[in-house]
Amino acid sequence: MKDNLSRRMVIPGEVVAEGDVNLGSGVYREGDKVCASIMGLLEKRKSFVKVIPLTGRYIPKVGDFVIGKVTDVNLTHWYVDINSAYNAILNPRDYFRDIDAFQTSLLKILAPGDMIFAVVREITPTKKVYIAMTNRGARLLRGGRLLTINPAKVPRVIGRKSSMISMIKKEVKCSILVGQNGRIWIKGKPELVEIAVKAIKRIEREAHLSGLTDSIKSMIIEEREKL
Amino acid sequence: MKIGQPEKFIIDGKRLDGRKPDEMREVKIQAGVLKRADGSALVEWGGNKVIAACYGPREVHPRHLAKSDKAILRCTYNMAPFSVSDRKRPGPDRRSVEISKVTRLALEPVIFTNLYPRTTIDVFIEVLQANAGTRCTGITAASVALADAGIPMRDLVPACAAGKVGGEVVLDLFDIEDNYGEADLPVALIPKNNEITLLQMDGNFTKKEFEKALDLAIQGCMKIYELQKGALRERYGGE
Amino acid sequence: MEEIVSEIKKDYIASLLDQGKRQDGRGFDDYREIIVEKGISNKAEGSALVRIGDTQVMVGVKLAVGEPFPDMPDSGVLTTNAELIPLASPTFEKGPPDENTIELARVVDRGIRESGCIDLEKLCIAEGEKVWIVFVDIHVLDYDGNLFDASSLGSIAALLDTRLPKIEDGRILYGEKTRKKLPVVDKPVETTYAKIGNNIILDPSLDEELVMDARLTVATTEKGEICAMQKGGAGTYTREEILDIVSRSIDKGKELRKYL
Repeated sequence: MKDNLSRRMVIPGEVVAEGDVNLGSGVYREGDKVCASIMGLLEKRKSFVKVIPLTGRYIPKVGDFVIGKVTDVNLTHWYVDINSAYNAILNPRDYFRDIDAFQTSLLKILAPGDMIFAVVREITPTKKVYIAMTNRGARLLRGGRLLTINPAKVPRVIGRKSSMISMIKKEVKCSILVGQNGRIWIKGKPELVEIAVKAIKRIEREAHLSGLTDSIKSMIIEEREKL
Repeated sequence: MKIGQPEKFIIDGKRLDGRKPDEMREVKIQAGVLKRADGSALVEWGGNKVIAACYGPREVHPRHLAKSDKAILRCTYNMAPFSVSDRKRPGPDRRSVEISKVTRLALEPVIFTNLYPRTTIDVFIEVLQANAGTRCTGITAASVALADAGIPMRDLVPACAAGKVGGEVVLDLFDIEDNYGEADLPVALIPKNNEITLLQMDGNFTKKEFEKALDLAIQGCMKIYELQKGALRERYGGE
Repeated sequence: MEEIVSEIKKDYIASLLDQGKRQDGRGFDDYREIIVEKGISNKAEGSALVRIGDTQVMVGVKLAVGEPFPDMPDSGVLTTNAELIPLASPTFEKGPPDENTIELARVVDRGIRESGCIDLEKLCIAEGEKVWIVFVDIHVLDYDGNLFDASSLGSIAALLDTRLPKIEDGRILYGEKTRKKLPVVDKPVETTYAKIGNNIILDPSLDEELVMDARLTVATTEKGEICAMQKGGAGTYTREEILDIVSRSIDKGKELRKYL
């Protein structure tokens, strides 16, 4: 995590590299120079440069798990808010069980206000986003608690090889689903859910610090002992 | 001479508010001042107080305004009724519609709208207290709000005006100079390559005076640019 | 635009309340943190910025000289106006004031007017010809619930902050404020209670407003009298609930007045 600390904060327009390098996201080329296009932390390797966003909306990627809110239904599909620039579309054939759209009203299956855990299936060149619930783990969320954090901080909540999130799940004995779009769903004993929420909010706040997994773990244990 | 017009604008090399001709009023910029907006900024510039908010990229309503190959940028400049001496009637008037338009054109060149087809990026500028130069204050605030919202952009866009009072070219007019002076020249700039994105002028300049005023305004923009960057660094915990 | 609330949030807020708790840890009769700053805009004759939690409302008072209403020739004129500008929330839209904006302005106006807190007769300059017109403009900057209480508190704070401008040869010199205050003789404040399920809570946050069944705003004067009320939301209140809210409002009013 040491390299994390050495990441420099950059501002749109700032020159971050010169010459022949490969560009990741958050940068653009202008003549011989490479500049940042967003507020973020600069990540620079030998021949590759990108800026990790510090703010901004979730940008969908195929394969991402997201937590969506159904906002509208029509005869053939659902509209789902995925906390992004685009509303996603869920077609009945991408629901996890067979639906005869001619026989059943979609409203009876998912209604506005329902929350779902789904996966981004396809993004068209005109940026239409299709999500699906046919993958393992996809489901309708019932009960529990919902939390929204900055999507840019999600990788830190999950941790390297899921180390952070597995630790939290184990320590608070809750089921936790993390959407890449910054929404997190937690279900378990209310007082333990409360601790999990505190822990996640602290990770969001202190994402730039190193040794976070250990300090979060001791915080959870401390809070648990207070119960 | 108009009622209220001062006899002299510059006395012993000092302007009526004590500034030197090439001196800017005090400017304070703060990023991230609103909870609901995706990005926001407050700029206090002399007697001006302007707040800007950015929402988006988000779905366009009404839908037919959406473009299939890029995001649209919509800017709204609005004055609070109590921001000026004679109460302003709420709602858009011809002046604010024009300022909204030139603001949009000042900001659009730096935004990578091609990354978000079919969406809108909405910028709202609210003047809470006005003292000449609100459009420059608004553009300055808006570009910080856009960066705070994480919108991909080529550069920030600072803005600043120069003008002419009592026959002399000066930087950043305040209200008496603006009301009774001879010329006003608001300018917005893309600092990294010195491209000008806003230029308006009213009054009269000789060619030589204009050149001097333009250079002065550009220098003013560069000072504002540093303050914009400082505000963003502070907001995101940089040095 | 209407915001769609997730079922999970609805259930969560309601079940917390049933356990006697709120999302942000407040008691049922607690306000969020309140900050009142006066003298925010020097172009206004009086101004105030009120924060209740993350809700921010700015109120400016402008004065003009105009003709009185024919039926009240010796009385100044009060006009209250609100703007829910799209800067303040993703759900606010541009355009002429909608029903929520108009309701907000009218409920704040009623609290000020019916309390008689401005002695309008003292604002007469020449009977039947010239009187002061008081414009109270409510400008919502950040919407996180409970605009009524924030706007009415801000309006009274701005009225108390107001200084009359100088008049010379019939012209108002706006830049030159005198030390003369507006004749403000009372401090009416509004308190809003939301009903969610069977629970009644003060100062609903945005999340609470989105799931509430009903809302009741009560304006009270310094003497502890009621001067305006407004019920909102599609739900209902019982007689007992209303009486309970009124007495709680009178108590809370005293607390709110300390911020003025």
